[in-house]
Amino acid sequence: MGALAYYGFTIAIYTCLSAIQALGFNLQFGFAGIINLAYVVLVAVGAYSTAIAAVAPAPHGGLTQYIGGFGWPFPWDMLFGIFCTLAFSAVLGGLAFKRLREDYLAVSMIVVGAGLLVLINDDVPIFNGTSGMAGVPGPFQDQLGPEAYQFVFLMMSAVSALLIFLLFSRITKSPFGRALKAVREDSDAAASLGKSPWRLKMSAFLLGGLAAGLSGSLLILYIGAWNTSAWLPQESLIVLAAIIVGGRGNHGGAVLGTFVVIGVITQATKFIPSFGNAVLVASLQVVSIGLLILAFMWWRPQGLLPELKDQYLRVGIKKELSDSGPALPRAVD
Amino acid sequence: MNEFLLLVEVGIIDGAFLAISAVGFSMQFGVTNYVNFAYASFITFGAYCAYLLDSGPLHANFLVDLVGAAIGTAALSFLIGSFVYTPFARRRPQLLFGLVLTFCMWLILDNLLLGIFGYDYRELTYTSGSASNIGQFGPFQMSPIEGVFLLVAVVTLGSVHGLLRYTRLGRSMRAMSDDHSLALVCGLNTKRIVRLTWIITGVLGGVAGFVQANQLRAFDPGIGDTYIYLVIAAVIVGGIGRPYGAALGALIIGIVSELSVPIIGAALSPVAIFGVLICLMLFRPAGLFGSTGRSQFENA
Repeated sequence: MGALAYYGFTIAIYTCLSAIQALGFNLQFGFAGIINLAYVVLVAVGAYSTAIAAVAPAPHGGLTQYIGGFGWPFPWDMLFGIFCTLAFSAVLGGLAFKRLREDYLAVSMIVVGAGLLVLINDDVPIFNGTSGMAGVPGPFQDQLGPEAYQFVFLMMSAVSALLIFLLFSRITKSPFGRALKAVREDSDAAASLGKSPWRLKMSAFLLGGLAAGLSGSLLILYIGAWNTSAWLPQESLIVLAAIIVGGRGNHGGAVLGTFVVIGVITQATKFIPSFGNAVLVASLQVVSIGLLILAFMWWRPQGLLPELKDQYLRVGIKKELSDSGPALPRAVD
Repeated sequence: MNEFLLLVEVGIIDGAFLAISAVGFSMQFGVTNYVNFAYASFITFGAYCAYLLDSGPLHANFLVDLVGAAIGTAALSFLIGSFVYTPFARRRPQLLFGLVLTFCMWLILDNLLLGIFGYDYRELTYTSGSASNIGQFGPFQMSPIEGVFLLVAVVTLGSVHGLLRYTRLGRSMRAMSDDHSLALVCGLNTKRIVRLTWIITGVLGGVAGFVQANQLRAFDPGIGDTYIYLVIAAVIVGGIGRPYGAALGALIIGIVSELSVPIIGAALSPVAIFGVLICLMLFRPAGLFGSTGRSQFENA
C-alpha cells in the first residue's frame, strides 16, 4: 500500500473518531449546556482502560509498569473501555452536578483533567507514566492483511460514527431532547415544570461519555499506543473548535465542524514554514485553531449550521389559531 | 514527630508560594467575573521573563528579575484583559463564551510560548547552588534562597492584604466582587478598577511564576499548566472570588499535599488533593468562604 493511501486511511479514520467525539461533546456542551472543557479526559479514560484490558500483564520487574493487563480479545476490550468511561463519567457527574454552579463546574472539570494528567505522568505503575501504553493489538490485525485491516477499521469507525449520529439525533428529537434544551436555557424554569435538571444533565453527560469511551477505545486500537501527550488540554480544543465552528446544538454541525477543523489542521501545516525550533509548527497549529474559535465566536457565534428552531410549537399554534379564530392572545411568539 | 513538623513547615512554605497566584486568580475572578484559565500562561510568562533577564546578556540580579517578571506579566495581563476579554464580554456576554474564550487564550498563549522557547529545560542561576548550605532550626530546615523567596511571598501577600484592607482601591475591589451592579450604581469607576485589577493580578501571576521557576529548579513551558491545577484547587477550596479564602486554601493544599507524601508517596499527592476537593464538593460546594448562587458574569 502506498504511503499516500495509508495517509488517506489514517486521516479518514481519525476524522470519523473525532466526529464521534464532537457528537458526544455537542450533546454535553451544545444540548445540555455542560461546559466540560476537559472532554478529552473522558476519551483518555476510554483509551487507557481499553489498553489495560487488551494487553498482556506487565512483565514482573520490567521497565513498563501498568495495572491490569487482561489480554482480552477485541470486542471485550472495547466494551470494557466504554464501561469504564461510563463509570468514570457517572462518578464525576454525580459529584459535580448536584451542587456546583455552572462556572464552578467548568473550573472543577479543568482541575480534574490537569490533576489526572500530573498524576498519570508522575506515577509510573498506573498507566506506565509519560511513556504510556504501547503494543495494543488492533481488532483482527493478525488475521487480515495490512490493506484489508485499514479498510475494515475505516468501515468500523464510519459505522460507529453513523450509529452515534443516528442515536443522538433520535434522542434529541424526543421529548427528552427538548427537556435537555429547557434545562440549558433555564434550569429553574425546567425544574419548576417537574424536569429534574440533575437527572437530565447526568444523562447527557453519560451519553457524551459513551461517545468519548467509544472513540477513545477505537483510537487506541488503531494507533496501538497512548500516553499523556495524547490528552493534553489542547486536545479538547479540537472538539471545542468543531462545535463552535459547526454549530452548537446541531449534530450535522458537529460533523461538519470536525471536517473543517481536521482540514485546517492538515492543511495549515503546508503554509507554516518550518523555521525555529522543532515544536513550532505543532504549536502554531494549536494557535491557529484557537484563533479560529475566537473568530467564529466574534463573527458567527451560532456556527456554520445554527441550531434548528423546534418547529412543532409554531405548527401547533397555527393550527390552533385556524381552529379557534383570531381571539388567541399574541403573547405566544 | 520531627519529621511531621518538617513536613508541616515545607507544606506552609509551599502554601505561601501557592497563595501568591491563588490570591491573584481569585481576586481577578471576583472583580472581573472572568474565570481566567489563561492565568496558567501568565505564570509561565512570569517565569520566562525572569529567565530572560537572569540568563541573557543582562545577567540581572535577583531584584531586577523579580521586578521584571512582575512588570512583564502585569503588562501581558493588562493587554489581554483590556483588549481581548473586555471587548469580547461586551459583544458576547454569555458565560459560555467567556469560559471558552479564556480557555482558548490559555492554549494560544501557551503554544506561542512553547513555539518560542521549545521544550528545553531552563534554570535560574541562583537556583543551582542552593541545595548546599541548608540551615537547620530545631526540626525545621531552610536554604537561604528559600528564605529569600519566602520573604518575597510574605511581602507580596502582605501588600495585597494592605491594599484590600486599607486603600480606597481595595475597598472598591471588594465592593465589586460582592455586587457588581451595586458598585456601579454607587458611582465607582468600575472600568478603571477592572483595568487596575488586571495589572495587580498580573503582578501576582508574574511573581508566582518567578517563585515557582525557582522551586522547580528546571522548568519548561509546561510550568504554568502543571501548576494551575494546584492554584485552581486552592481557589476552589477557598471559594472562587475570595482572596482570603484562596490564601487559606493554598495553605491547606500545601500542607495536605506535603503530609500525604509519607503516607501515599509523592507521585500520588494529586490523589490527596482530589480527596480534599471531593470532600469540599460533598459538604461545602461553594468553598470555605464562597457563596452559592448564580454566576455574575452576565452583569459584568
